[in-house]
Amino acid sequence: METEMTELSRRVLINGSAPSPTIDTPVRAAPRTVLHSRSFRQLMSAKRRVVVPLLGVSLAYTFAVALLSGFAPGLMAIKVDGAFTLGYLLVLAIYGMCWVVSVAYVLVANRTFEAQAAHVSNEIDGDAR
Amino acid sequence: MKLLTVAIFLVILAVTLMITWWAARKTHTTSEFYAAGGSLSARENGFALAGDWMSAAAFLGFSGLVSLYGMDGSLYAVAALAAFLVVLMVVAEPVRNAGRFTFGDVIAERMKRPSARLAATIGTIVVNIAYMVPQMSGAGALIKLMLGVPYDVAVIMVGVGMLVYVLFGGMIATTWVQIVKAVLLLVAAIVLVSMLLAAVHFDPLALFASVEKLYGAKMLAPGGYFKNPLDTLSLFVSFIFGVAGLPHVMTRFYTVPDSKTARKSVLWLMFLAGSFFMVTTLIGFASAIFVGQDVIRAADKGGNLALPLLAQYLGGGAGSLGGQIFLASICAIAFAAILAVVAGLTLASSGAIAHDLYVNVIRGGAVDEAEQVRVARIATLLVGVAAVALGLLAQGINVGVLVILAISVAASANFPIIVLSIFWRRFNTAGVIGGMTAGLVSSVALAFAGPAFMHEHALFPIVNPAVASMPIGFFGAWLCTMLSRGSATHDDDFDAFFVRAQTGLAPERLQAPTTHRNT
Repeated sequence: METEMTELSRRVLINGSAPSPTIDTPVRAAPRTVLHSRSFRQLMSAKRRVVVPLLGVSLAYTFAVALLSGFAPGLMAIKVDGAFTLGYLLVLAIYGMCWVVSVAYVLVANRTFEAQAAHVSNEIDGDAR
Repeated sequence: MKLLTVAIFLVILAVTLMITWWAARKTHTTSEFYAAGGSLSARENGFALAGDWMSAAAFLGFSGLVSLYGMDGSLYAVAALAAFLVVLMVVAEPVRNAGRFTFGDVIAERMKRPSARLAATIGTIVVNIAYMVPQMSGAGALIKLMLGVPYDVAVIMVGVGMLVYVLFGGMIATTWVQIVKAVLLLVAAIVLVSMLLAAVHFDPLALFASVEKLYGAKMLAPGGYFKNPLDTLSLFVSFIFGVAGLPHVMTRFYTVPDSKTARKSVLWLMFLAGSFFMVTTLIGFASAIFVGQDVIRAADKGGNLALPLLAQYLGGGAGSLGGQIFLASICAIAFAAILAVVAGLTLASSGAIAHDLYVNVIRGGAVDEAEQVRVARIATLLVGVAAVALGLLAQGINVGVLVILAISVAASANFPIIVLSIFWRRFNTAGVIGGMTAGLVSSVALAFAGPAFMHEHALFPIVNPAVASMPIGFFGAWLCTMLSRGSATHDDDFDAFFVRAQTGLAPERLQAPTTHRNT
């Protein structure tokens, strides 16, 4: 039981993005209130604005390469530079895209999403006071 | 040669056992056993994640496929990397925010029903076993080849090794064994690639030109390995959605303190495993050029020994001291890779059996901490023994179909239920069970009816069934949801889950639903 309590308070400290007034009696909010709060809706719309285009474009491109490989192998065999083919150029571009997209996502998420999640947490505290 | 290989084996084994001894002293609670106490840094978890993903099957398999079939092998490798975009942007954060140790935790947190957790547990166990058996049998074949010890002895050696890591050192030992292996593998790759590039005067395009000259333009275009036009698409579907449904990958996100660190660890994986997967194309081409496809095929029909043979060639050739050192090092690293990967799979499976099945489904969560750790270790032992037994049974059987099965079940059963649990309000326990059943049954049926198992008599033309079985899994989840009604607290449960999964708010900050929690 005791270990469970320490585990609980550890998770409060770690997961709660903003310090609660007191660890023992954290301010509680009804999930539905949070769900409809301004700060939570802002967080979700920020996530949608980032994830939908980033993931949408990169998956569309990746699956396009898969479809071209299956249905247009001749197109993929076109020479670009010496023996280097269009197919390999497109595959190389998937690597580049994975790197660019993941760096972009992590930069935005670790700044914006974290700040907005902290906002949600602060708003719970603010409402209670 | 054998002595040298044994010596390198022993050094790696000694290092990993020291790590285990050190980790064992830090492993007391369930959280430490399953999730390293959530204390890993982004770099540590990133290396371990990359290590998990650069399995022996991946680095021997991808370079081998490229050496024999050209571009289709390169497509395999890039699909395996692109998969982590979905992991990063869709599942990593909600999974770590809503769960504690397992995939089942997330489903149970959402559905509040033991039967939903049970469905996730079954998905976890099937995927992990299908993943583990080929690794065990690969290890057996590899060690037999290198040390001349019988297959059975080799499989038991692997089993004992991984059991020692997991039983005593839990997630901390498993992670550090994985990190050591990832570093060794990356160093080996840097040495190999520098040497093969030096051989062509640092002009990678010269490799493409030589391959074309020796084996024809077909090596540089798709279609060498895959015969059906839908094969490539289906491969991409399996990997890109399947990785997001791999329980041992999800478990890695519980080992870090917060979502920031979780995201950064995926970034490490992207660059470490990404660079590695990228150079498997160069390694594959170089082995086709320098070693030759006939020699590669003679050593192993599937091309899995292309990379070790290239290492031997670059070290100075068979019989030379350099060649022996290179070959022995690569084989020892492959062995370490298998040990590390099966350790991770064993840990994730023991979490499913001890934490999900025993503690939560059978005992309803009423198990104290000390007993939980004991049960976790007993489950680990059971999983280890089962893995060894299945590994022994798999001797001489083509286990290739199991590799396909693992990733297909992950994409068709685990992925639909995790993604719908996270985002779909209406989704309920019946949907979880329906999705799991539909995805699992269709993957197994289509994988065994496909070319990987039935060869030329295949009833289903595509190697990876996910292009068909994933929609079936989603359909099953949708249908069973629509045909049933959610519980009285369904909406409240979803609200609480969704807020937690998206913000990482501690559960103590949200008011509990009015009814009791029985997960």
